[in-house]
Amino acid sequence: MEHILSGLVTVFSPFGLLMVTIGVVVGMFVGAMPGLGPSIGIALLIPFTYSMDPQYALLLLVSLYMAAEYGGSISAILLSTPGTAAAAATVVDGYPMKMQGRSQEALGVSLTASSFGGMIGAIALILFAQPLAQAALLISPAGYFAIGLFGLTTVASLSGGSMLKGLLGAGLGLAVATAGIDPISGTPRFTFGYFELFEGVPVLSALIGLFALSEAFVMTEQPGGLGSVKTKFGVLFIGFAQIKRLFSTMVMGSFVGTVLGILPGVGGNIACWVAYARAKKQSGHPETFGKGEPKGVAAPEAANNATVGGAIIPMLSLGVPGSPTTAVLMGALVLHGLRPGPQLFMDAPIVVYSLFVGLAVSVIVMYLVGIFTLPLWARVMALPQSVLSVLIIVLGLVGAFTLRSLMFDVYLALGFGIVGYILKKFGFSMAPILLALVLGYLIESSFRTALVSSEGDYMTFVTDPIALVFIVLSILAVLWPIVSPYLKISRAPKGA
Amino acid sequence: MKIRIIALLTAVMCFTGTFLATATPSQAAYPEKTISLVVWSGAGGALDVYGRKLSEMLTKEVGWANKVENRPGGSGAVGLSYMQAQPADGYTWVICTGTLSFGIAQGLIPFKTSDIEFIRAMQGEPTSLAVPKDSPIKSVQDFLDALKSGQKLRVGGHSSGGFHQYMLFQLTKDLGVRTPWIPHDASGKIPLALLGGHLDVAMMTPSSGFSQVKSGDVRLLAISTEERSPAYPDVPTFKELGFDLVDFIWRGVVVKPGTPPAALEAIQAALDKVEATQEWKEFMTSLDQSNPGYKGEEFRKYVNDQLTEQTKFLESEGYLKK
Repeated sequence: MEHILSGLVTVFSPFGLLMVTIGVVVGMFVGAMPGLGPSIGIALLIPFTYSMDPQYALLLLVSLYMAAEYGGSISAILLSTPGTAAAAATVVDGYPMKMQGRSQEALGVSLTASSFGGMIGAIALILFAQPLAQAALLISPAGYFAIGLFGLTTVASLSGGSMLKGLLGAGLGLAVATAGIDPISGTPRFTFGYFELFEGVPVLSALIGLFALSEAFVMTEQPGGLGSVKTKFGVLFIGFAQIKRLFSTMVMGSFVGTVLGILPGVGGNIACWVAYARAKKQSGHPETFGKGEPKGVAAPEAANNATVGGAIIPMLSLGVPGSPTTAVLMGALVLHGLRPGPQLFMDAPIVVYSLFVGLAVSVIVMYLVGIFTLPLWARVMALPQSVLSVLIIVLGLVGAFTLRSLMFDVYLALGFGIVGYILKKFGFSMAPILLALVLGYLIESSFRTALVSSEGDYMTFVTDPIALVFIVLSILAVLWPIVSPYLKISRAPKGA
Repeated sequence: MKIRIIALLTAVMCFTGTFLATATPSQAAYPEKTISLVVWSGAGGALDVYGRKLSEMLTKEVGWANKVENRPGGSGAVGLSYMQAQPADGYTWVICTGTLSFGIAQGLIPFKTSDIEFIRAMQGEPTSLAVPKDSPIKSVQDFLDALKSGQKLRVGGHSSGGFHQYMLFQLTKDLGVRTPWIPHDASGKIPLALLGGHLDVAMMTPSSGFSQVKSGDVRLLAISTEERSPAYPDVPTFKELGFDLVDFIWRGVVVKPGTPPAALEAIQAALDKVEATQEWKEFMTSLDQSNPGYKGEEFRKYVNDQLTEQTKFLESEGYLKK
């Protein structure tokens, strides 16, 4: 209770509210710009939060995350181009609404549903994060190893189609994660004599390179903007009748989003489709879907914003990020000298509770900012990609330097940017690389701590119940995508 | 005409200005420009807190312009290398810790103690022997007996080949058994590992488990301070239990060798002034820090002695080849 109060004080201080507002505005921008997204936005902003107290830094970053999940729908509706992968389902009904001259309504529905979903996700976070952190005390190093491994198995869903490329990317991430001083023996590994690499490859340089710079290089290939869209200025309140009509859809979408958000690897990009499909099924008039049905906008938008709160739960309580964005967010916590996991709730309760309160407040700020300024964002999208890419490169390189004031980190970020660009050309997704990079350290150090504790006995991974459960789950998760096509083929004739 | 006069005046002023500037350094008191306090770890940690408080006090109490810079990395090598690249003028201080000698011993920090001018150790944090509240081990002697009898105990703490393991080694080296050690990568994990039953005994910084110790979930069997710590009045020291184990991890200030003696004197005087203030004393008490009080040559000798002992420890435990 006392901690909730200090969280409230932090968030409602002038600086706290300013951070939330900046986060929301920047978040809407990176969300609305196709190619950018919450991960890039956070990676670019982390260096600028470095001198702040961690609770304010986190407020800024989670507000950005929340608003970016919403911002993706703006371009989805107006341009038929989802700003983020999680807004893909919004295109299906959002763009037809725009074509029918109902873009104001579509934007309003999306904003309302996003805010609703975001709030439900935030409430779930407040309710479940603390109990999970308590329970996490019982998890032994062997258990942490298994949970980390399970987190890694999500590469299947993050690899953008090709399982092989996902696994290769994860392998690359794990390999990069081995650089630095060995956590058990204290010997430097793969540092090539550079003491800049003693603490491992700086995550921030990797983040900026892989996500922001590589995307900026791709952008330079496409000069010109996305085309301007004329929208009227006005308030986007959709009316109580409409809210009443959409209420049950929003509740369903929020629920789907929260639950799927907690599961590793199943972020907004999957939750939006699941929620859309359910909304269509539940509706008495499924034929209206795809032709400008507001429920078809409300369901995925509620879902993708609800995943925000859900996805933060395992990252905060266990230190196991389940999605690229939460992996970036975890990187931010670590840079501020905080280790996510149960000890965070004891070491820095103010950070945790400010984050709780901040996430809920960011939803409200997002709604207010959105309702009055939304038509502006439509115009921002006319910004030429080349301008945007230069902006990203400059911010990225300055950011890489800021953390340790080392040119080494800048070169490293550039190197990662070039590697990322080449990998993108070959159809690799960056998410598995990043997730493996962040999880690699946890997996390795807990694996080896477990073995030191058991004096080299590998049975510790089987006799520990938590470890056993997650190892079995990991095996199933890897086998499922390989096995499932065969199951479908055998089932298909019956369905037809 | 007017312009010419202005130009002439400017030239005269520039000339005299330059003259004064070149003439004064020998008499000018240190410092005549902003001092950089280079913290060799990231923002937010205990070392950073110390560096920033020192910075604030230097501004407030001594009136010295200064700024804090975090240059983390390379087990401190990044911060120290930066110092080596700056002139030896006393304007670059490195705020560092006792892991310095471990880093040198392990070959991670590519410098010798002669590459460093030791100014002062201002804070010291002890270690302690900790067990969960329901542990059958009730005293340091219980622990040593259990080890000697060959009982399997999971013993560990923060980092590998570092201060806490070194202290455990000092405590157990005469038992004739191998010192067990399960390293953890963060000090905050240690009390939680005790609570969760993943460690039976830990060697840990008392403050990293402050709330668990206060709540009684974690019991401290002994602490490595000279006298009992005011923060844990019920915890005996190793010394009073008859074990020769008094040590701490220091935090302090070093500069580059070759810094003019006048500057060194001025720095010592300024630190005296800071340490004499009530505010600094309260700061030290609030964080439960002891003051090692090592200065100059005494400080260097202390670090050199530590280096010798730690090298022995690292060799004995297989971290270093003899």
